[in-house]
Amino acid sequence: MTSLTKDSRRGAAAVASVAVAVLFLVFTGCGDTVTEVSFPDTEPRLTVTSYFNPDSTWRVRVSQSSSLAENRRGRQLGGVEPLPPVGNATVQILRSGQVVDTLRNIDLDSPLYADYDGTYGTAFTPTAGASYTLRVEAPGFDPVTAESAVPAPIPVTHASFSDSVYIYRPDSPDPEPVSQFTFRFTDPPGERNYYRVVLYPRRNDVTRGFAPIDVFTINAEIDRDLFADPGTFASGDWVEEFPFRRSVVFTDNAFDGQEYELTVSVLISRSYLYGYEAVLSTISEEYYKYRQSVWLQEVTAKNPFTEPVTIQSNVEGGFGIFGGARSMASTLVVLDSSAAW
Amino acid sequence: MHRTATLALVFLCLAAFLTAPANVHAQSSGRYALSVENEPLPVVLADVKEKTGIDLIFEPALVEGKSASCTARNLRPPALLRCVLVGTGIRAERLRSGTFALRLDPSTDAVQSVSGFVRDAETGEALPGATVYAMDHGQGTTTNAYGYFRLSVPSDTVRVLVRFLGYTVLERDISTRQSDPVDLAMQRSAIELGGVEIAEDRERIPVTMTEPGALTLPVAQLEKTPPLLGEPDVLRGLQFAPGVQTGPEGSAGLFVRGGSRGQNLILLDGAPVYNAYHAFGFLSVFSPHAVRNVELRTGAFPARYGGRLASVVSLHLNEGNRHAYSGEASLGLVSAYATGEGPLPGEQGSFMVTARRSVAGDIAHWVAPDDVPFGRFYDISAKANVDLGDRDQLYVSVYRSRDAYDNDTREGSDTASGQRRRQANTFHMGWENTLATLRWSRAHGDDAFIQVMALVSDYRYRTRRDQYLTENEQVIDRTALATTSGLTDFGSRVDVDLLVSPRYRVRAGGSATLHQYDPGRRDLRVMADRETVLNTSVEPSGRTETLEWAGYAENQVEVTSRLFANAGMRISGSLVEGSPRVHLEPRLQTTLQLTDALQWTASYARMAQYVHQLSNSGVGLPTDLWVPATRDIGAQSSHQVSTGVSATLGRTVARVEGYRKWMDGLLEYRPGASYVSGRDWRTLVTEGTGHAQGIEVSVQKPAGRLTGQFSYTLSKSTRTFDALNGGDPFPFRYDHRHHMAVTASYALTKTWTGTVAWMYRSGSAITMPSQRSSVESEWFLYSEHQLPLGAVWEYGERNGYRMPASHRLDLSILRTIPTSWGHHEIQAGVYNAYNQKNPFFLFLDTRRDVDNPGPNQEVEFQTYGRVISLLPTVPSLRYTVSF
Repeated sequence: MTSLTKDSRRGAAAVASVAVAVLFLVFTGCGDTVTEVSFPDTEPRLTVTSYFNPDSTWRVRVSQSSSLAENRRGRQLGGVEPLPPVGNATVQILRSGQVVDTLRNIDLDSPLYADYDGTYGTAFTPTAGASYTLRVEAPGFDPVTAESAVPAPIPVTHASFSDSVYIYRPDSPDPEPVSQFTFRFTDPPGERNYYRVVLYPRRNDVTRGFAPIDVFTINAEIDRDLFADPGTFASGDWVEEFPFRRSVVFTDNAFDGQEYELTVSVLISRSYLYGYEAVLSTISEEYYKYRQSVWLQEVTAKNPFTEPVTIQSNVEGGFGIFGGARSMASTLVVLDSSAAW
Repeated sequence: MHRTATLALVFLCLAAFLTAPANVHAQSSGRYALSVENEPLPVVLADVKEKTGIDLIFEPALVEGKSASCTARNLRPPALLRCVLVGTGIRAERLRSGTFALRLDPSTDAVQSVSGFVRDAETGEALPGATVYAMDHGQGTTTNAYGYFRLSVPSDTVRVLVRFLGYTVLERDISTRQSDPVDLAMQRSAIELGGVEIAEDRERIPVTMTEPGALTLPVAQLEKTPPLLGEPDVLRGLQFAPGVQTGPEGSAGLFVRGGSRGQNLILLDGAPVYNAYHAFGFLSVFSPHAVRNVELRTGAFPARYGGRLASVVSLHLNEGNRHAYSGEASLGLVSAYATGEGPLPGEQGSFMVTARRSVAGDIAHWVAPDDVPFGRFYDISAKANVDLGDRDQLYVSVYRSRDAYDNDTREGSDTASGQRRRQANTFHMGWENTLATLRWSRAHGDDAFIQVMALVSDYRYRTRRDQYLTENEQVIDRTALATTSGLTDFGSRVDVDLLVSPRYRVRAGGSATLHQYDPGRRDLRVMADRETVLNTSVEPSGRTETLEWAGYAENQVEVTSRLFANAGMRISGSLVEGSPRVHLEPRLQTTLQLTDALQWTASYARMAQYVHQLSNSGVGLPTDLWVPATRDIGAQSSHQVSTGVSATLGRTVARVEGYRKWMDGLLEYRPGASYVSGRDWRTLVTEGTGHAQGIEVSVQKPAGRLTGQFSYTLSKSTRTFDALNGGDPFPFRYDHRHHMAVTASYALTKTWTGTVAWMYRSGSAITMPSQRSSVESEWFLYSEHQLPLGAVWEYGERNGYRMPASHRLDLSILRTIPTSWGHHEIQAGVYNAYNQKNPFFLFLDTRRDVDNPGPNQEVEFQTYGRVISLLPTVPSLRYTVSF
């Protein structure tokens, strides 16, 4: 009995010590469970973007990337965080190791874009089937290079448009009228081919334009089997907006070597445009990978349970894309010929 | 007493040397003559040793009471020694040093077999993993999953020493003449019963008897690990073992030797458990009060184990008290449990039932019913065993666990017309395991043990999101989406354990399991204006059935007195979609006893795994998907080599082991893919390889007033996938370069025990961007005024960023209050005592110095990482009563 009492006393003393420690820690130690960490500083690199095809002249955008460890300061244009354009770069196009052209900086004659001078252009147009190298140098940056080619042509046997189609959307009990583009073509067998559909708004009957603000919204339905890569944009889903600003890229995974009929259904909620144009193109592999990875990163950004998406760039020493494309067919739809802007 | 007898024998032997008769005569150079008839063997050996000058060592007990007869001429010393030993059951082995060592000759006709069961003296339950050592013969073995053992000894009686962690060492003489298996009843050690008398090991048992790579721990030992929120956890306790790494802070997940969570085979009484976690991975589904012991294998896999690459965690449910009815009830901050056990009528068996239920969710819901998502879990374990005679036993085990989490919001209002409108948004997530096993075991003669088993294992995961609008309790609009996934196994297994000779043991068996995979089904129902407009089910992957089978044979050979080997072959395969897959899996484990205290082991194992676990989180979320190897997606396989040295220093065992492992057929989600994408999982994954290597150091002190363990692992684990990281190798997410754990438990008094645990590990490897870059649309081809579309994250190497290191100190103290009818226990503790903010996950955020800038106003953007820590200092308290 005495021993038990003694043991109890010793044990009680130990418990009391622990209890005091626990209470102290509980009331003084527990605080915010969120802490911030910093990232290692990395040198900024050149980011170059050039989508080229035989239908248009060269355009190259050059900007600089920003380390996560560095605060980025500048004017916020169009809601996009400032990643400074690089206006003093030397931008050259090479073919077979020879410089084909040196692009000039396009001065944007507008106060709004006064400090946005990273666009380079030339009147030179790419040659169908040719391979090109892009070389960009700028003071303070490592030079970057990239290679790509204009893909071989793929003929389209049928292109049509219909605006008298009604379809059911999953969340709507009533059928809705849509505009429907149809392209039919035969995919070259035994090789991986890459495609892109773009919807361009039109200023008028000759000029493709852009929307300075959110002028209209396009909803579209595209065959789900086209998408070999995963993502939330699954088949048959009604896409609230074409991913990546009204264009999609896909492979011939579902129809390799076969004749295929692509149908794109479009619902335009505001239509005071002159019109719009659907363009089907074949694109290079690097173009496809870059675009697909950008799209995937965008659509999975808020899902904590997806694996991070690395941007697939073909720019050696920097970021961005240098990718060739070739138009296969286009269909222009005029909505209001008096609405040119 | 025994020590005194040994000393006396040594003294007798020395005396014999000093007074040895001169029966040995030298003849020509190096040759001798001898003539003895029924002389005491110790005396004759002393004579031979003295006259020939050979160095001779032996255990005095080995020669005690034996006599020698030999008449020979012109013999060299080795032949002379053989002559002396004829008919004694002893043989001489010449060591490299030239010394002759005497040991039992198991090939003599005098060898007898003895077999039996090791049981808890109080409850009669079998004790798997206990070591049984024939002291006088240098023979030892461990009990199997049924507590059964067999030994071969060259005498009519054998004195065995039985040891099991948490029990007092048992010493007992057994007659080899009895045909029925004997029952060896072990008393729980004094510490377990609340006293300070610590049982001393009267004789150290050679570590050669334990299988390399196996760690068997009674749950009573694991329970000493300071619990999180007062919840003792079986799997969390294993995180302190060498080679075992932890997942995110607080989770009970295991990552063994560079392997993923899905590469651990977790068995409960032989049935696989596919989601072993409650509460999103923070607790395991095994109520520790229902489990007798846990066996962990991380490297040297005998051929009878297979199906996973990284580890086998085998848990055995309590069998129940065979002598008396008893019970226990406990209440903690998170859960409460009750258990009951007792003998079946006629004491021909026993039963055990344990039920555990969460209480934290109910309390939180009661305090704040509208603000707190409601979560609850339960698990029920039951087991019964029946003796079918002395040699046959039948076991039935049933288990079920379930987690359910709900988050509901409801709003209601009355319209002007008096209609009662109500809008609800409900979300439910739940998962459940259901297991059942039926086992029959038979001790056939003294040389064979047979087990036959049938099992069912089912795992289901469900979510349901329901949004609806009601008017006067009638649903007007509704959108309900339900998802389910799961896996069901129907399996059978046969194992035969045959003792061919004292130095040769064969194990063989086979298994077949039908797996039914349901990787995901979605049911969507849409109602509008009181009418159903959509009611559809989508099963993008469909159900897949595979038949997995395996056959194995192990040869356990005692090559010499110091070299043991277990060489085996396993052949396994899977039949999926009409396409067979087969793997040959050779296995080898060797153990060399360098000295009495020093042991070297080496092993090789080829493993195959026909099931993959797809996980985005690694946390142990139920969204982790089990999928099969298919015709197009291969099985996982690995080669592993390991070698190590163990040293026994008094009551402390130290071990250093190194390993290398090569894995292929690994699956990872492709970039941007996840379970929630709703697509066929086959389109979401990519295959690759892995490599892991490391050095593990451990020091254990399993007995005494102070018990504890130190473990440190230096390791590296990488993955290589063509489709990831540009095809370059990258670190495995849970590649923790350093992992260290220390636990110490000290019996303060007869009734107080204090435990301290400290753990450190390097940061997990995660993928983080290093830069931001602009993205442009195609439209700037046609208008130079087109602005960039936005910015993207530019990632560096996959898993190239290290989270901050984690470390924490846990404390607990246990007070046991004995009563005349049982005892009370109060356990208080604190998790993460110094409130280290260990990272659970990290995410990026960007902030601006101006929220709504003007057209030409400059803005500063800053990107920063936010580390979320879930578990600060957490006190715990639990009360238990046993009767």
